[in-house]
Amino acid sequence: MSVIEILFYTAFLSQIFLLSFYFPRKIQNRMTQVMTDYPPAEYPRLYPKPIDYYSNSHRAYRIINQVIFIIGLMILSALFVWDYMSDGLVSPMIPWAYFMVQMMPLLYLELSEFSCFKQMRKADLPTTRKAELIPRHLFDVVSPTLFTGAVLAYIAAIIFVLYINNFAFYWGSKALLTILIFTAGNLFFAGIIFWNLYGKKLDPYQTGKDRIKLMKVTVKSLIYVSIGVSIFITITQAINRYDMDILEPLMMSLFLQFISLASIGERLQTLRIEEFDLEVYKNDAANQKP
Amino acid sequence: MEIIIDIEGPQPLFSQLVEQIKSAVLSEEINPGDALPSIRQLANDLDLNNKTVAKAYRLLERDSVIQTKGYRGTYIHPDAKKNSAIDLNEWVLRKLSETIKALKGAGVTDSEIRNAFSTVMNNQKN
Repeated sequence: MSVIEILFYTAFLSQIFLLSFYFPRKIQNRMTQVMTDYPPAEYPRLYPKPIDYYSNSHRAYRIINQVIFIIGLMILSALFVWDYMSDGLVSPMIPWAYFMVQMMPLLYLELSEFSCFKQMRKADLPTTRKAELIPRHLFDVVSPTLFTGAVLAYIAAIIFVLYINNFAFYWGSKALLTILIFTAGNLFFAGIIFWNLYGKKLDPYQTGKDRIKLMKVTVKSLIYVSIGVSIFITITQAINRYDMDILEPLMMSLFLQFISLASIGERLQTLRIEEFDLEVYKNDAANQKP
Repeated sequence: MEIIIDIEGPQPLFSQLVEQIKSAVLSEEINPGDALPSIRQLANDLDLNNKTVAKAYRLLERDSVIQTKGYRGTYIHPDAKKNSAIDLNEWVLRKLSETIKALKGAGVTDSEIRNAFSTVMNNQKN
């Protein structure tokens, strides 16, 4: 077994463990902590749906992750037993497709959260609403250095793509297609950042300070992901150019883990429940929209 | 500085915004040259229609309490403090009261005043 094969199997195992065991367990602990420390009886506004809904969601989240974890181990065993790697049959799409499946429980949680916010807004009958009379700008939530770094990484990646493709930049060329997809991805990130900065508040009770905290983490994560994408594009272009395709699945798995750490990991690391003002979810809180 | 809007209050929402921004200027919570949030930001934060906030900003700009500097944004006017003290609504009420008093003194009836007022307003629109 070659070093690259060992590295790929290790990276894929790490992907399975990170996204279907480590993060889900952390998220689940956090959900349990919220329900224990901020019980529905004291914080009814935090639970706009019947309590059963939350316990069922948590159980479903745990079971789906366990199933996906087992599927991951089965894929890894199959690749290992049938030695697909040395035959060059492992497509970078395998870690990618599995990653998509790994993201499903998170998507399920996100959708549940949206549905809860919707319910909160429906049930909410406040007579007053508050807002800070201070403009928000991009650099209030992210450092200019980090943002400039992301822009420079984007430009460098584009120049590298053009260079690798001998500046063959015409309609239908590989370089143009790569740049278009890459730019569309960054525009999508920019859209999410804009929506976070200026969009409507989803949680009607959330305080201005807590909103800024969340914004900072979200924007920072997206900038990290954008830098990660630029680096990934550069590496994959080099791999293709120098016929090192065998490295592609390894790089893909490492990239996916990087973006997960930059987004989910950063969020879990930076945001602590105790630092949020959850008093607003108490029933006796003033009849106000913060 | 925090803006608090009472959506069930008797005062129109745009008027609440105008008054609170003027009071903030008078109490020096916000000062000349300070930047204000964009219409979209404030409307979304207060869960109001963009048009409501735009109307408030338009009235504040008319009264020279704020000034819009193109794409750079909206700022508190250098003479905001002096201009915030002027209550245009009160001035309108005083002027109208004087006029109505004079008209009534001349024997004009209430309905004639109302009709004349509507006609003049309609003519102004056209």
